Amino acid sequence: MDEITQLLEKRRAGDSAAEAKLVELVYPRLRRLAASFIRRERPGHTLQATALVHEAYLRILPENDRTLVNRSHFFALAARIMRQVLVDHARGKRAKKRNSGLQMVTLEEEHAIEPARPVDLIDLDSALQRLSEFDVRKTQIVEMRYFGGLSNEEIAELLNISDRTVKREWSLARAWLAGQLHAPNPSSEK
Amino acid sequence: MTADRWARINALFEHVYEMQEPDAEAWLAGQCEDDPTIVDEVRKLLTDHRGAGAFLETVAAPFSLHEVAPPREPAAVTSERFEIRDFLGKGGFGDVYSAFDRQRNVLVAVKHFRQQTASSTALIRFKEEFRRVAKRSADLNHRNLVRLYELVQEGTNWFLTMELLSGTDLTGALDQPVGAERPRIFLELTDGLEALHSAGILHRDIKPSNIWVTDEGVVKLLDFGIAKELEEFQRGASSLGTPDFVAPEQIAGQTTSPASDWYSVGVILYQIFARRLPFEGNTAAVLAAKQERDPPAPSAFVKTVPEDMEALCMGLLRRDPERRFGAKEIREAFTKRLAKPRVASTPPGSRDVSRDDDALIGRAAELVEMHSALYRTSKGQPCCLHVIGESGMGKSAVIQQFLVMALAEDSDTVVLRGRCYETEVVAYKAFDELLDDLARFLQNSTPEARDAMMPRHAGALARVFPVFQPAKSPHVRSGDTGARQAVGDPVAARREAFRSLRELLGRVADRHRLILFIDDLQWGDSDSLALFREILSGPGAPPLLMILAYRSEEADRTPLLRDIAREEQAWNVPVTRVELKALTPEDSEALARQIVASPEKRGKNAIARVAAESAGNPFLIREFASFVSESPDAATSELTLQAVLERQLRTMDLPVARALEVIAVAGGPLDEKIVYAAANFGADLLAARSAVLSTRLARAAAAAKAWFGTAYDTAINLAINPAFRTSFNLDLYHGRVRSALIEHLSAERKREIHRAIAQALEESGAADYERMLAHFRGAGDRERAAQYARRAGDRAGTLLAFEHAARMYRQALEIASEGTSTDAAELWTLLAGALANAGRGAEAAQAYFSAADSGREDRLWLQMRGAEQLLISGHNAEGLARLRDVLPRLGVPCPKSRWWIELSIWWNRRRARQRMRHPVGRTRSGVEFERQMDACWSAAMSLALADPRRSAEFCARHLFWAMDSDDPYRMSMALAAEAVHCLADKNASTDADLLLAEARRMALTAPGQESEAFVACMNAIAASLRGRWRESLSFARRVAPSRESRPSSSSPKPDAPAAKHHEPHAAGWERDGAVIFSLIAQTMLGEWQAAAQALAEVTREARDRGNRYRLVNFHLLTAAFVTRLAGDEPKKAVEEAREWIAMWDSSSPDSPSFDLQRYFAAVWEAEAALYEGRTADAWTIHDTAWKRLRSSDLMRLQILRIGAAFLRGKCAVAAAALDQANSSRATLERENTPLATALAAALRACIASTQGDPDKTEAALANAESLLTQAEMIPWVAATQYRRSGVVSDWMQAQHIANPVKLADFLLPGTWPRASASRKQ
Repeated sequence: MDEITQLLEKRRAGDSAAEAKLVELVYPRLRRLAASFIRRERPGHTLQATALVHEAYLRILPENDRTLVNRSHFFALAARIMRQVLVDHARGKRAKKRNSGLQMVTLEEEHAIEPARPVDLIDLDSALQRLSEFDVRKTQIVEMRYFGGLSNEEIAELLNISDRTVKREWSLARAWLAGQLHAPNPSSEK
Repeated sequence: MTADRWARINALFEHVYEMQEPDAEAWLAGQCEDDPTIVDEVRKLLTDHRGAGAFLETVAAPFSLHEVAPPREPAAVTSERFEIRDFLGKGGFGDVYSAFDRQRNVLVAVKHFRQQTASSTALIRFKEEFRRVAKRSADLNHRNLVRLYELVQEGTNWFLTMELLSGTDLTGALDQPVGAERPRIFLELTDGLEALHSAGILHRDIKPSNIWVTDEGVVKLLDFGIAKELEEFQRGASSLGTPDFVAPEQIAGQTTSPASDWYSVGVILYQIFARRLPFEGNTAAVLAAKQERDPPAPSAFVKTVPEDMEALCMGLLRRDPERRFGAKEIREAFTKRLAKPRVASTPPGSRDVSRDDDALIGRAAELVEMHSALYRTSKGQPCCLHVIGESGMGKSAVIQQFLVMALAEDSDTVVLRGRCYETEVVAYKAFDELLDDLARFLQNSTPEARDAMMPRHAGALARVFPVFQPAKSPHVRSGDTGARQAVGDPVAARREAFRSLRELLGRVADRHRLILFIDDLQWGDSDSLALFREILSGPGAPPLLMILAYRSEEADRTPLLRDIAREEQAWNVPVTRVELKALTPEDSEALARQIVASPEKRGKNAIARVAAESAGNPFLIREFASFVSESPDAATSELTLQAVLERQLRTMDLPVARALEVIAVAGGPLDEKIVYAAANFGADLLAARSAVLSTRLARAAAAAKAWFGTAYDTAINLAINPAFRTSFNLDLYHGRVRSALIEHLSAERKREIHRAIAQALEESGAADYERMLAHFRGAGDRERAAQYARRAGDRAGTLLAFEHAARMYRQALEIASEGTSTDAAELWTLLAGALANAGRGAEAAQAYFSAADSGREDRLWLQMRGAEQLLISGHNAEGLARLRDVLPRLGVPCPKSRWWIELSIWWNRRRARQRMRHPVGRTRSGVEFERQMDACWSAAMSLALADPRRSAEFCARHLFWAMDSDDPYRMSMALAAEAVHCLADKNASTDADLLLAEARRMALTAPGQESEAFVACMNAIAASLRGRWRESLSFARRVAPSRESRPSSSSPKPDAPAAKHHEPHAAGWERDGAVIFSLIAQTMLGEWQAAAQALAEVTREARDRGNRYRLVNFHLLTAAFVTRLAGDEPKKAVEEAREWIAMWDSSSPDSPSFDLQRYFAAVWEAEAALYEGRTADAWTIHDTAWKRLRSSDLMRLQILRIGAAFLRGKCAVAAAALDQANSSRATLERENTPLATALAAALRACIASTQGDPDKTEAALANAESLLTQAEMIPWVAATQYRRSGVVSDWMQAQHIANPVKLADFLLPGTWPRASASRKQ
């Protein structure tokens, strides 16, 4: 049996070392995959995480091991890793900006006009980190939906809860995160 | 947040989140009376829930590359050449699209406009004007200016093509929070604008929408020069600029100057800081206000404007252009911002960290420049970054910082490093360590990635660079045809290896951001030059950043650096030079303060003293500062490096001090085990290591060298598994420490240490011959030193590092001359072989002569080889003299006078034909006879271009002998060569076809394919000599590639005196001939672009081999000149021709003082004069040369006679000497070949035009056009067409003729009525 499949099974059985090992194995592949996606993509197109995760599934998991159970678990795992990949990338971009200007002057802090802001992945990541401290399941749901592109049905099946619960928990998590991200000072949480 | 509290919040939220707002509020009001904050929180969540909109609803898109697709409009235009893709925007006078240029196979941006009112004559004038300006703009290859390529007309559609850019214009960037990059934006904008100004172009319309910022963050100025003029041409009026941004003097109609552009930059800056324009209102009001008053200060609108920026704005917006700020002030202001020193605190006691950390002090501007170079490589081309500075200026440290930043910024960066060492003598020194790094990188890649990156001929790579040998690193795919290179031409094998390395680097660069860093290049070797050239030059070079660091004081002394400086421009790689200068006194003190422990206690005085004594040298600052902080009596002691080190050595244990001395004497990193053995350390490796490293004067350097066999495996293991670190190399921290240590050693002590190292090396069983040579020599053991020099040379030879091999043999000889038992004769022969392979013909010849002098039995043959080397490297006079000396002794007669030569040719041809008609089979044989024939053939081949008649003589004699030998191999080649010589000879040209047919027939029966290829070459040359260009080209193409694999053509059956791999690759005369004649054929067929490309390729190879003979002949006799004229560069063409002829040595003692090359040099001078319209000069120059030509036997060459007559006729027409012209025409007609007849017809038309008879002219042109077409003289056909219709032909367009009018005047001179140009329209 393929190493990844074995590890997936161990992880399902609650082996946290297996999880770490899986991340270590899949992270570089997913990252490279994302990079190659970008190189292939024509400018003006955006790439959906969903497509990437599906492709990763096909490329990483051997055909014989692609059972329904493995599929869900793999997707959950991939969603987590996608979160890492994307956040790391956002950090890299930020570092790039910083380095290229050597961060010795930041004119923008005083003078830039604030445009409508897209989701700041780094802030989102730390908000998710805080959320996971008191509600792991909601964190997972956000990961799967936002980073892994899984549907409510898929998430429900995976977490063994009802579609409705997924929908409700998603709404709450999203509202909480929106409050965190748009708050003037994101660390003002009590 | 507690779980309990969160659970309660959850419960409430669940209940109400789908309710209408009032209902929810009503329900919540009664909940959780014990803790109302919970309800508050739920209320907030509900608000956020309702207001969240699309938040997180779209799945995360990895990396928003180009979020907004450009608005697509159906392309309203179609084109043959361009595949129009996306609409990019509306320009001032036309739409801009991205398009695929089918002709050039690249994506470009095109500005399209429709020809509207302008008359066609005006357009032609405009096109000429465009070429003029476009040339000026095209020379502006500046990274902050958009590249303009071409103006293309298709019917009424016009396209201006330019570089396609990613990114946005500054309008966008101004609104977005990318302010951190703004200083850079302005610095780059300033660079670009200044480059424009220094090219004599004003922009006149600087505004945010004309300033582009690419995705890589590079600023590009748009819409300048021709783009602007095009717009004005289309509008029929000159443009004023944009009212908001235009300078006051521009409005007033006064003279504009660069200052006007800087004003506009000021407006942009003002806009950023004041968040409004300097003047607002309607256009008239703004324009008036600009003239009348200064704008309010930006701080009137925004309080927080920094003072320096406000001053800069106001300075740039001064109304008086004389007093206005410019590039200098902008640069000052922004560089200062970038370089604001950080307040960094040094962790106590950790000197290593601080070393890296304070590398930045006083170096911010340099780092910015380095980053700019890095961004350039993201454009898909390589970039070369020179980091220069005196020893101790902190080059390595700054680069280290830069690399750390590059890695932090993009973790997908691959950095390969290498360093050269002063006393190291490995081959390809500059790349040695770097390639170890590359091998390690491959080793650590996944097998799939590795397979994808390995070049096609991994075996070829491994042959030259043993690091890649499969036995040691299993990543070379099995089944590779590496072994096929085992025999064959070593130079070709080396080229193949280099190509493979380039391919490998290219594949790495496709997948990762690739940075190559070579430190201390001042110790680099000349062999490495060819590698730099291979990696960096030509189209499709891998997009990598090559960082070269070296000491400024050595830049002029090191041959490698001098060569790089000389060649670099030709490689067409953007080069950034960053010079690290001495730190300013303030920066010096800042740095000292960081290092000196508790500076308060030491006092200001100590800091000031360190700063003053070190003269801004960061290395000395560090050394002195640590000394000051560690020594109690530092205040009174002497502050020189020597003194500081001596004090330290005195306090060390003996073995430790000795280990440092050993490393110093070793001259580069040395395996630590050797160090400890030579320094008499005890057996405890770890104790020794920690003792040495704790001095902080030595460091662990990169792992062992590839030569060390097992050490290489260690290196791989080290990289993979840190636990396997059993042994590594030790080096001193800095070169200055080394020189200070060495200075303090006595001569006796140095010898002792050399011996200790040499013995330790020998005992370790390492195969590091170069090192052992150096150390045994240093120890005075000549016998063993010479032995290792010889072995090192042999090894370098098998690795194809010929320069290195030659150096090693030279060393061996040098040592031998000091008196050893080594066989000097053999060493000379080996040296000669290595030099010949390195393309140093003259030196190789001298070595052969020395070998012959030391009394070997094959003395004569060695002398023959020497003569051959002289001839093929262009040393004709000496070569000929040597030949005449040695040939008779080998039994080959050597005629003394021209008269004898002619007689001998006649006689031998007669004898040979007799034998052909009445074959008698083999009449002579034997080794002696074979040798005679070989020598004769070698003489014939090496003299082919230097002295054609003498060559013909040897050729005829060889043919006769070959008949006697009855060897089909030899006979076929002899016959083919004979055919060519006969064609060149008008008395014998008739049976050339017969001879060629016979040669082809015999070649089929000869073993191997060499004779077939040779015969094909001769066929190509023969066809060219008769003006059958297409036939010539098709024969030549059959040969070219296969020739390289044969070791030598000048001796059909080589009996090499030296080892096989040292077999010199001699003349290859027939191959050179095929190259020359196919280039000529391409020129005549009008394939000028292709010819220029082919020429560049063969030039590169000739340069690789240092082959002067080829360089000169390829350029002087072929296409180089006309392709220069195609680019409208007559001056350059003449300069180059002069350069080549200066390289050519032809002062032969007997007669051919005037040779082919000299004649052609004169031809090009005359042609250039003709092109430039200096008709009298053209006539005089050519007339002089022609008179000499007539009296030389070169006139036997019909093709030359035809060319000379035509040129003479052209010059005469241009000078209006019609009688002269008519006589040349008659000469041409008498030659009676299709080519001559066609050229005569062309000349007739030229004459008719000068006589001013339009009807006769037209008739003559029509006749010439059809005859020239038959003669395959495409450029002349184009010229007649241009003469007849005034239309620039397809050929001229396709070949990018820069100045069609001038070229036509040059091809067909005459008095052409300009009015006739538009006759057809």
